[in-house]
Amino acid sequence: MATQQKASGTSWVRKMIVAGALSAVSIALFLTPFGYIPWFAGASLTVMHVPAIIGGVLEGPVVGGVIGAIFGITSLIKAATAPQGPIDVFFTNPLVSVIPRILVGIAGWLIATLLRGLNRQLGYLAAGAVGSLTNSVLVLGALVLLQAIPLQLAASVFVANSLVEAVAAAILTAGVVSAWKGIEHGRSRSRLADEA
Amino acid sequence: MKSLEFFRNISIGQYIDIASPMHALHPAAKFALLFCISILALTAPTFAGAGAALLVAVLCILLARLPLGMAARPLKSLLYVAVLTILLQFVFSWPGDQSLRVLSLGTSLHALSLTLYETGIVASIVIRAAAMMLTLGWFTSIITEQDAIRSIERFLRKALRDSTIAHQAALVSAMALRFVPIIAGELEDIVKAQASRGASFGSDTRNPIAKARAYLPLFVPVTIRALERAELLAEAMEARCYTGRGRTEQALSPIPKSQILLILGALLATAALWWVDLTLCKPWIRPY
Amino acid sequence: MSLIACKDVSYWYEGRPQPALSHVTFTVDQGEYIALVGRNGSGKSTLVRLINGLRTPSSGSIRVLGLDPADPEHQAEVRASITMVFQSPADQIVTSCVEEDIAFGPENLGLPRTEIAARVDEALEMVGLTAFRTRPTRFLSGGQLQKLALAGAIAMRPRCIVFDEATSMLDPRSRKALLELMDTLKNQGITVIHVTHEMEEAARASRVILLDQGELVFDGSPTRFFSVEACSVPGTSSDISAPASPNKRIEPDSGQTTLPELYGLELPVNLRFARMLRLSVSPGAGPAEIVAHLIPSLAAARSDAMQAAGLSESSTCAQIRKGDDDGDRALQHPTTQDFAEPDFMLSDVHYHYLAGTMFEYPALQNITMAIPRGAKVAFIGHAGSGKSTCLQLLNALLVPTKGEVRSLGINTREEHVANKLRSSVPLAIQRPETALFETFTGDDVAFGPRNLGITGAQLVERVRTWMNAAGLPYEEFRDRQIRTLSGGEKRRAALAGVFAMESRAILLDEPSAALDPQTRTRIWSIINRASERGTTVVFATHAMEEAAGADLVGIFHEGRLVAFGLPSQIFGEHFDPGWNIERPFLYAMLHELSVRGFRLPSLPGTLEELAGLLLPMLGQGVGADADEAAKACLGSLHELCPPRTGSLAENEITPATADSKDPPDIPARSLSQDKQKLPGTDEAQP
Repeated sequence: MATQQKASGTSWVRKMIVAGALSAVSIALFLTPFGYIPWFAGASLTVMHVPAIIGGVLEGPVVGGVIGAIFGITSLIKAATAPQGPIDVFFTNPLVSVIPRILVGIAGWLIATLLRGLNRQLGYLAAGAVGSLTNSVLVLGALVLLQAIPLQLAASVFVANSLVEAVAAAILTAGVVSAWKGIEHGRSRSRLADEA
Repeated sequence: MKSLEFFRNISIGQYIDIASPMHALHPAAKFALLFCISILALTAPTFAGAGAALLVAVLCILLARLPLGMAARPLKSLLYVAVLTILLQFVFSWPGDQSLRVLSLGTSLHALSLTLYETGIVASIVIRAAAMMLTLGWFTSIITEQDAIRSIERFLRKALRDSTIAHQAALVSAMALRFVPIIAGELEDIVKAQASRGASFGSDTRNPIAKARAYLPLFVPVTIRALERAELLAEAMEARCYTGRGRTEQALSPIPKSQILLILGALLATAALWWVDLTLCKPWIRPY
Repeated sequence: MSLIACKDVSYWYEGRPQPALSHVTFTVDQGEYIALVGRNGSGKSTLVRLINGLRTPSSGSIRVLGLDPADPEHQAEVRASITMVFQSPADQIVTSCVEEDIAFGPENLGLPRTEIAARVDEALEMVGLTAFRTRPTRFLSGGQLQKLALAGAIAMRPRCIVFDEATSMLDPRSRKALLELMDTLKNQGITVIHVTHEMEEAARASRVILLDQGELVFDGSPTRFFSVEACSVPGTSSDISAPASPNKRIEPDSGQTTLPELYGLELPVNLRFARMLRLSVSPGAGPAEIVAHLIPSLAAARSDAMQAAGLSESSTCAQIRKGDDDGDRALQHPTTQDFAEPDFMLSDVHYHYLAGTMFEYPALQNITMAIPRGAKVAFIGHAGSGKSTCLQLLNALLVPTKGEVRSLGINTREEHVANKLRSSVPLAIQRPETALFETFTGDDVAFGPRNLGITGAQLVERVRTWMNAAGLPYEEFRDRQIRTLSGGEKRRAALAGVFAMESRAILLDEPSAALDPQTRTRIWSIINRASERGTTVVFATHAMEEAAGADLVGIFHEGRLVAFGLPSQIFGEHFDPGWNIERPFLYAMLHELSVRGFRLPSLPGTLEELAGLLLPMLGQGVGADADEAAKACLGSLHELCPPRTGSLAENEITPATADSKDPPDIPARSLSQDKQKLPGTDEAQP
C-alpha cells in the first residue's frame, strides 16, 4: 500500500493532485470551526491558509499559488453566499479574498528556498511566518485600499493579531513539513527520554 | 454539551435545479454575465455604476426564478456592516476631507463626525458588496460545479491555445472538489480521536505558542493524510492509463449564435456603463 | 502465449537493504483465478505494481501479452489489459459523479464518445450500480465505492483484473458481493488476481501463490496449499518452486503445520477445525459439509454406545428435533436493574445526524442497554447500522438527540465533565493510526497519559508497559520515527496510546480491520490483556469470530439494537437470519449439529472444546487401546444424549420429547469465574 517512491508518471499530474488535496484541507478547515484557533475576546487566529504555505514549501510556487487561489475563490464565494459576519462583506472583493492568498504559498516557497542552505527547520518556520504575514499584510492592505478600514485600525489589527497568527502558522508549517519529510524537530529522540 | 459533529456535506456551490431562462443559458454565457456584473460592481468608478450592477444582478435572479428570500439572505450581514462602517467613519476621519458634515457631535471635534464623503464610502462598500453577493449567489445557483470546471477548461484551452494548462486547471479544481468531503470527514474523525485522548486543542491556555502547538495533533495528521491520499490517487489514476494527454475530450455543446450576441452585448453594455459612470457620475459625485 | 510471464523478477526499494521481491518466477494464463497471498510486507502489492508497469523491476523480466509493462510505448496497452482495484475505496475514485468516473479510464484511452457510453452502461449493469449512475460519488458507501472502482476497471475491457486487498476495508455484505463479482468475472473468462491475506478468500481461488519476504514460496492449488503435506515434506513437493531459506522455515510440528501458518497467515477456521477432528475436507467446506462428514461416525458411535449401555434407539431421548421448537422466548436484554454498577447505560437513546438541517437522518433509534463493568462487549452490524454512532455516544463525542446516555454514571449531556469523560472512556476510532501525529512513537503513545497529567517515571512506566504489550518493545521503538513504521505497527502504536490511558473502560471501533492475521492476533493480545485487568471493553467488529469471544454481543440493524446478550444466545437460539450476518464458526457448527439432531450437554466455549467433545466419538482420536476408545466414546455419548432416567447426567438438558417448548438446544455458557455474573445466564437454564 505504501508508495514511498514513484517509479514513473507525469510529475505535474501528481503535483495537481497534491494541490487539490491540500486545497481541500484549506477548504475543510475554512468551512468547519477548526480553521480558527479561538484566542481571546472573540478574536481568533486563522490557520486556513497554512496548507497553501505547505504546498509551496513541498511542491513549489505553482502548487502553493494554486492552493491559495482555490482557497481564495472558495472564501470569496462563501463570503458572498453565506457570510458569517461583517468582515465577510469585504471578502466579496477578490482583491481581498483571492489575490493575497495566491501570494501566500509563493512567499512560503521563496523563503523556504532561500533558507534551505542555512537550516531546513528554520526555513520551514520562517516560510510559515512570512507566508502568514504576507496574507495579513495584503488582506489588511487591500481593505485599507478599498477604504473599508482606516490605516490606524489596520495597523492595530496587525500588531494584535497578525504577529501571533504568524507564530501559529510557523509552528504548524514546520510541524507538517518535517513530519512529511521525516526531518527531526531539532531532536533525535523521544521527549520520553527526558522524563523520569 | 454539544455533539462533536459538524456539517459534513459541505459544498461550495449551491446549484438549484429548476427550469428558467437563466438555467438554460450556455455555461459560457453564464460566465460572461458573472464576469460583466462583477467587473462593474468591483471596479465602477462610483457607487452609481455599482448600483447599476446591483440592479442587473437583481434582474438576473428574477430571471433565474430563484427564491428571493434565499437570494437576499446574505444581505443581512450588510446591515451590520453599514452600521459598523458608519460608526468607524464617524470616529476616524480622512485626511483632507472637507466635505459637508452630515452628522456631527459638537462642532469643534472634526473627528467625531460623518461627512458626505464618508457617507459615499459607506454607500460604495455596501452597494458593491450587495451586488457581488447577489451575483455570486445567482451564479452558484444556476451552474453545477462540474459545468463550471468544464467551462473554465474550455475557455483556457481556447484562450491559451494550450490544452495542458487548461487540463491542469480543470484537474486541480476537480480534485479539490472531490477531496473536500473526504478531508472534512477525516478532520472530524481525527478531532474525535484526539479528544478521546484528552486533547484540548489549546482551549486551556492563553499562550499563543502553546495554542498553536496544541493544534498540531489535529493539523499534522489531517494534512499528512491528505498528502498520502494524493499519492494513492495519483497511483490509481496512473493505473487507469491517465497521462493527461490524448484524452477523449468532453463533448460540450457549442455556444448558440444568439448567446454569442448576448455575451457581446453584455460586454459592450458593461463598457458603456463604466464609461458613463466615469464621465457623468464621477464628476458629480466627486466634489463632495 | 501466457497472459503474464514473470521471470526471475527482483525489486529493491531505494534505501532499503532487503529486496521487496527476489527472483520471482511464474506465469499466468487467461481465465485463471489466482489468490496472491502473504503477510504484510511480503511483496504482494509490489508485485502487482510491477505487473502493470507502475514500477519497473530492478532485475528480471516481466511480459504481459508479450509486452514489457515498463516500456512507455506499451504502457497504455498493458494497463488497459490488466486493471486494478485498490484497497482504499475513496482513494481511487477520480471524479465526483458515478458515470463520469467509470468513463475516466476509457477517456484516457482516447476512445470515441459512443464507445465510452456503451462501456459505461455495460460496466454499471455488471456491478449493479445502474440506479446510481448520476449520483455524486461522495454519497456512496464504501462497498458501493469499491463496486464503482471495479466498474471503472471493467470499462477498460481488460483481460485481467487485479484486486489489491480490495475487500479488506469492506463490511461482510459488501465483501461477499465483491467476491461474487470476482466469480462472475472469472466465468466470463477474465483472469482474476486477488491479493489478500484472508485465507477464507484465498480458498475460493483456483490457484494460490504465496509470497514471503519477497520470495515465491508456493504456487499450486488451494487444496494443496492448505494441506499438511505441502509443508511437511518440503523437498518432495513439486508445488514449492522456490525453497525458502533455512532460517525462515520453522520445524514442521509433527506434520500438523500448514503453509499459511508457517508464513504468518492462518488456516481458515473451517480447516482448522477439520484438522482438530482429523478430517480432510475441501478448502471451501462450510459447517454443513463438515457436519455431513461427521454424521456417519457420530450416528454409528451413538448406536454402538446405546447398545453397549443396554438402551434401544427408541428409548432414548429424541435427538431429532421436531421442527422449529425454538419457541419465541424473547431475548432478555440486560437492563439497568440487573447491575449494581453498569459502566454504560443507555435509555431510549435516539441519535439523528445533522439534526436541524435538510440532511438530517436518524442513525440510531430506541437504544436501551446497559453494559456491565468489566465486560467485553462486541457490537456487530453492517456498515451504517449504527455501531460507530453508538460508540461515539458512549464516549460523549455525540450527545443523544433524545434519551439519556450515562457513561461511568455521568450523564453525557453534562457540559463541564464532557472533556474529562471523553478521556476516561477513550475511543479508538476506525483506523486509529490516522491520528498519529508525533515524530517519535514513544511520544505519541505518551500523548494520552500526558493529557491526563501523568508525568515522570509513572509516564515512562505506562508507555513501556503498553508498548511492550502491543509488541513494540519500548527500548527499540521509543525513538523510532512513526513514519518509518509499517501499517500494522502504526495500528498497534495507535492502540497502545489509547490503552496507555489505563481507563476504566475503553471503546474500540473495528480495532483489527484490514490487518493481516499476525497483526490481528497481536492486537487481540493487547485487548485481552486490558480485559483481564478488569477494563470494560466495548468493540465494534465485522469479524464474527471476534464477536464469539466476547462476553456480550449487541447486534445493530438499521439503527436499532435488535439483540443484546450472551454470544451463545445471540448466535444460538435467538439468531435471526434477517440480520444478514453469519454465525461464528463455532455456533454455526453447533447449529448444524442441532439441526441434525445432535445436542451437546455442555456448551463448548471454543472450537477446541467442541473438538474435544466430538473427537472421542469419531473413533479415531484416542490411542491404540480399543477399550479406552470405547469407554471414551460411551462417556461422551451419555453426554451427547443422556438417558431419560440415567444417573449419569442428571443435570443435563431435559429430553426434547417431553415438551415442544423445551429449553434452548444451546444452553448458555456461564462467564468465566473471574468476571462478574452476567444477566441472561439464569434465564437460559431454567
